[in-house]
Formats: sequence, structure tokens, C-alpha cells
Amino acid sequence: MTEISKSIISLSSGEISILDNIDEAVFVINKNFKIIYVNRKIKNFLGIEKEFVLNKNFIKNIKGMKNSIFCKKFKIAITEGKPIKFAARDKIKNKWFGVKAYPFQKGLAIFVSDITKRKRSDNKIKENEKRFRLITENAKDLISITDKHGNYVYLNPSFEKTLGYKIEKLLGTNLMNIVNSSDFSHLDDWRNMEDFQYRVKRIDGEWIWLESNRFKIKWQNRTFYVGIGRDVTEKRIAREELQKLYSAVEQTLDGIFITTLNGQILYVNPAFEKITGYTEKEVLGKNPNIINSGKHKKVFFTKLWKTINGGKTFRGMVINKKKNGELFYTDHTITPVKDELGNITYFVGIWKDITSHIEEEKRKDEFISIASHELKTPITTVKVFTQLLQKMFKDSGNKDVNKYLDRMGYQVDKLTNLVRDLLDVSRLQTGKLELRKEKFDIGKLIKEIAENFDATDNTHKIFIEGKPKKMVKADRDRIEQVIINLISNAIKYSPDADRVEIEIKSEKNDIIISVKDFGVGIAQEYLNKIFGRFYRVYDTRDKTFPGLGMGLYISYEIVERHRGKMWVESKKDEGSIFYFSLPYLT
Amino acid sequence: MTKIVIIDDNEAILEVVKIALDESGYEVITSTKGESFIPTIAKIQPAVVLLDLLLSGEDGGEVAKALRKNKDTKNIPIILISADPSAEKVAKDGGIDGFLSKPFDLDRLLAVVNDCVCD
Repeated sequence: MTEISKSIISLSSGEISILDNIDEAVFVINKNFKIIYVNRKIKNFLGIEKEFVLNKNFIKNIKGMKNSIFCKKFKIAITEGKPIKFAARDKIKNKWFGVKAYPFQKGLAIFVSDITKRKRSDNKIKENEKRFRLITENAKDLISITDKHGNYVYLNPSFEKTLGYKIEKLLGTNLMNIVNSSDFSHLDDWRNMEDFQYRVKRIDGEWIWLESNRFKIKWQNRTFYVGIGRDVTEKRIAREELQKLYSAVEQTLDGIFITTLNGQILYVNPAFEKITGYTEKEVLGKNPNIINSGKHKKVFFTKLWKTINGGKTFRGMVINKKKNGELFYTDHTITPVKDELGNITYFVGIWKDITSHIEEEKRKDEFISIASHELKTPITTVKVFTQLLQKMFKDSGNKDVNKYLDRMGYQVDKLTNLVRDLLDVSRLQTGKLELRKEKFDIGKLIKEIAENFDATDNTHKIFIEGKPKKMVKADRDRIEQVIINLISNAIKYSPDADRVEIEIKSEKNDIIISVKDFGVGIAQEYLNKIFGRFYRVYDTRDKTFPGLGMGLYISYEIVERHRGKMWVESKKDEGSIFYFSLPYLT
Repeated sequence: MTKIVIIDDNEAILEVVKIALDESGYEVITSTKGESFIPTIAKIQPAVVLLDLLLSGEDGGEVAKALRKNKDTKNIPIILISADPSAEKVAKDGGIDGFLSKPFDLDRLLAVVNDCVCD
């Protein structure tokens, strides 16, 4: 361009048609601003034909030029004798012009081009960039731009906020410096990622999980990569926790199922499949009664549903049936799962297969039953032989023989009772204790029992107070067993006392019988244990009392099976009062 | 002499019951076998059969049923012996005439047997 300007200058006022054909408006002014050369394109700048401009004064004769930015700049160029280059807007025409002015001896050669279009698109770019910045600077996502080697050229503030690095320090460094390369199967993988999760090291050394998308862009003929990542560390931890729970559910030996509110199976775990023999496919959408054994009454399930629909947890032993028809016992828990509003959304059932445990229990009980059975036969023999001998020697006058035979008879009776208790315990355990209920006067029964005790026991006297108001319907033999047990215990555990008090009281629907002793008593902490199987009370004087600890357990269970209750009040070293109630015949 | 048959797989029980009932003037025939002894029972025609419920290799209940089926023994009273007291109900429902729960004593044995024989 300087070459052109030189030639213009040298030609000064001559006509140069070639200059009419270039895109720029070209004109020359002398130091007084008289236009001494102009080309055709002046119209683009001043809006006037070349002919009306030539030899006119630029300041005085051209409309709008007085005090314009153009005049000011040209004056400076002429005064200082230096080329000038600027862009200015013609406010009237609303056009942008790029101006280059070259001073020479006589004046100034000026080249003007219309740059309105370029200017507008520049502004657009600036606007866009502003918008882009606004988005990226405020985005929570981590946005980065790297060159094709992975060196950062742009990082948004979220990057700094999340990872703690100063952006200026990261710019120019390679992303591989902070990412965990073991999360990529190939080192080049970072270039094309879609919803890819990998770890980035925070400034404090902690790893942050990012879920990223990266894409390639071309800009000014260069390749860049834009990465948009999101911190998913918490989500990932939550998912890992969930994964742990899920694998626990999947790997546990307990059967687990989830159902809708109306009992449609949504999920069963592998243990469920393994134990029942049904695959998940076979049971999905079905009701859990697919494993119903038919061993429970209808009311059992009515109660179960009532419990869980009421928002409570059901817990109990349920007998189920496998696909092959085999029965199995489960310790079953069904819990209603509620949403934040407390509405039940579904049910979760968990059961433990306790078949082998139940079978083991059954075998144990069967053993006790058979053992008791086997014991009873020799006891019978000893008993009858003893009685035959007693009969033989009754009139012999041999006192020693009679005494010894009496002892034998007494011990055989004790043995008989022990075996009976063992058998009762096994029956209670297997739920086979049968009651033969009949109407009877329990007051009369107590009196008979007390008389028998008084006849055989010389240490304690038994006092009875009160009378029943009605008959009871119960198993007479079993209730007799309970009363004998309570009186025997009262005597046994009050070795230093001489009396046992029985009281008969009536409430509206129940009879309450109490047996009071003045013996060793029971410490508070053992009170709730004494009705348990094989529990025995120990005296503080370290005196142990004989017995297997079956009597109270059996008595308690017998009373319970009559819909009665048994309880105790006791003070250590003062004695105990055992109570039991039975419903009156209504 | 009134004849009584007792079937039990325990020899000691057989011995003591035989002695006890002998003492009381009965003629006692003992057996450890059930079904195979039925022809003999048919021949002897005892006043009562004492039958243990739990025989080795045999079910006393089945023996009782077989006795009831046999035309020569169907009218002979049966007393069932068992260590399980709940068997009494089963015995009564099955048309058994008496029940002796183990362990029994001499008085109970004589009472149950006398009851049956007198009927």
C-alpha cells in the first residue's frame, strides 16, 4: 500500500483511472484540506460523486466533516507528519470506516474502506464471547478447553472451586497431570469421551470423580478439545453404598422378596430362588402364596396382612413349600416400607431357612420322648416288684425290710415324676401337650392336695383361705400337677419355715390362686427367668436345691394353655408368692 | 382259671405282670410277638388281652385291629398299655376296653384287669 500511496503522491493531481477500480475510496488533500485528488469510490465514503468533490475543501465544503473525527485525525497526521490508521463511525450514515492516511510534502493521501460489515460481525463475536463467558464462568460444571495434546487453554471458575487449583497455574499444563490415568483403558481415551467417569486429583490429594463429555472443535485451523465435567463423587459413593447393599442382598443366605401393596412380587434374591427352587422369572408379578404350604390356617394370613397393612412388622415362623413340594420352615419377617409421608409403598420380606434347626429340635424332642418311654418300662417293673415285695413282707414283722421297701417305693415315685416332667417338657416343645378339659370344683381339689401334703410332709402345715365362686373347666390332672408343683416348691425353698399359705380369690371372670412361702425368695433380677425351661434358683448360702428346673416351666405352660396367667412376687430372704389365674366357666 | 394273655416286647414287664396276676389267681400266658400270636389267642380264648402299644417291629395298634378283625378273637376285651398318656384317647376311640398308662402300679393293674374281666 505504501507503494500505491507513493505513486499517488508523485502523480499528485493527475488522473489515474486504475485507482477508480479498487475497493477503497482514495483521495488526496493539501495542507489547507483542499481535495486535490479523488477516485470514484469516494461516493462510498462521502455519498457524493467524484466530480462534486474535486477541488472542494474537505472541512468547509463537505457536509458533516467539520469537527468530525476524520478531520481531527487528518489534522494530527498533517501536523505531526506521521501516517495514521484508525476506524471510525460515520454517525449520520451509521457506517464504519477504516481509514489510512499518509502525509507527504503537499498534504495527505487518504484510503478509506467500508468496514461496517466486518465491524458488525466483530461485535457479534464479542457478544457471543461475552455470552459464552457468562455461561462458562457461572456454570457448576467444570469446563475446560485443551489443545490437541491435552494442554489446558481455558478453565472455568468451577474448576478452581472444585479442585482448588489456581486457574493460572493449570493453564498450559497437561490434563494428565491431574487425572487418574488408571481410569482410562488407553491413554488417548481422554480425547473421545461420552459420559465417561474418571478421577481427578484435588489440590489436597483427594480424588474427585468426574463424569465428563469431551468433544473436538476446530478453531482458526487448530484442533481443540472442550471438556464438560460434573462432580459425581457423592453420587458415586451413594451408588457404591447401594451396590454394597445390593450385593449383600444378593449374596445373603436369607431369602428376600419385595412385593407391591397387593402382594405382587417385584423382586426375589438368589437365596430365595435357590431355596424355593423357583426362578425370579417364575415368581415375578405373582403372590408370595406361591410358596404357601397349606399348613397354616386362613386366619394366620389374615392376621399377617392386618399387621403389615397396619404399618407394623410381622415376625413369625412360617412353613413354606418349595417348587418340588418339599416343606421348609422359615423365621419370617415382613416389613412395610414407607415413604416420607408415612404411606406404605411396598413390603420387604426376609426369611431364614430354619428347617434344619427345627428338625434338630424335633429330633431332640423325639429323643427325650423315646428316652422317657424307655425309662417308664423299667420303672414300672421296679414299682410293681417293690409293691409285690411290700405285700409279701407286710405281715412278716421284719421292720427293716418294710422300711427299705417304703424308701424304694418313694424313690421310684420320684423317678416317675421326673420322667413325667421330662416327657411334658418335650410335649410342650413339640406343641403336643393335650388338655382333657372337664368341669370341676378347684377349691375341693386344692383341699384334697393340701390334705395329702399334710399327711406325708411333717415339716410344713398348709393353710387355705377363700373359696372359688364357680366351677372351672380345665384339665383336672394338669391343674393338680400345677398346684402340687407350687406347693412342693414352697416347701422345698423354705427349709426353715413351717407353713405354706394358699389363697383363693375371685375376679370378675377369673379365679386367682396364690401359694405363699416364707423361704429363701428370689432376687429381682431372676424373677423373669424362673418360668424358663431348666431354670433353677440358687440360695445365697450356696445351698443348691435338687431338681431339673422343669416344674415351673411346665406349670407356666399348662396355665398359659388354659388361657390363664402365672406370675410371682418375691423378696430375697423373705419368701415368694406364686399366683396363677384361670378363666371361670362362662 | 381265668386266662389272661399279655403281649409286650419287654421280658421284665411280662415277668412282673405274670407274677402279679398269678398272685391274684389268674392264669397268665405271655408273648413278645403280636400278630403271629393271634392264632394262639384264638385257641386259648383268654378273658382279656393286655397289649403294649410299642412293640419292637410291630405296632400294637395294628395288632389290636387284627384281633378285632379275626372272628375268633373279635370279642375278647383288649387292654392297651402305653407310656404315652395321650394314647388313652386313641384307645378309647378305637373301641379298646381298657387302658394302662406306664408306669403303673400293682393296684392300678389289678383294678383295670378286674374291671375288664368282670364286664
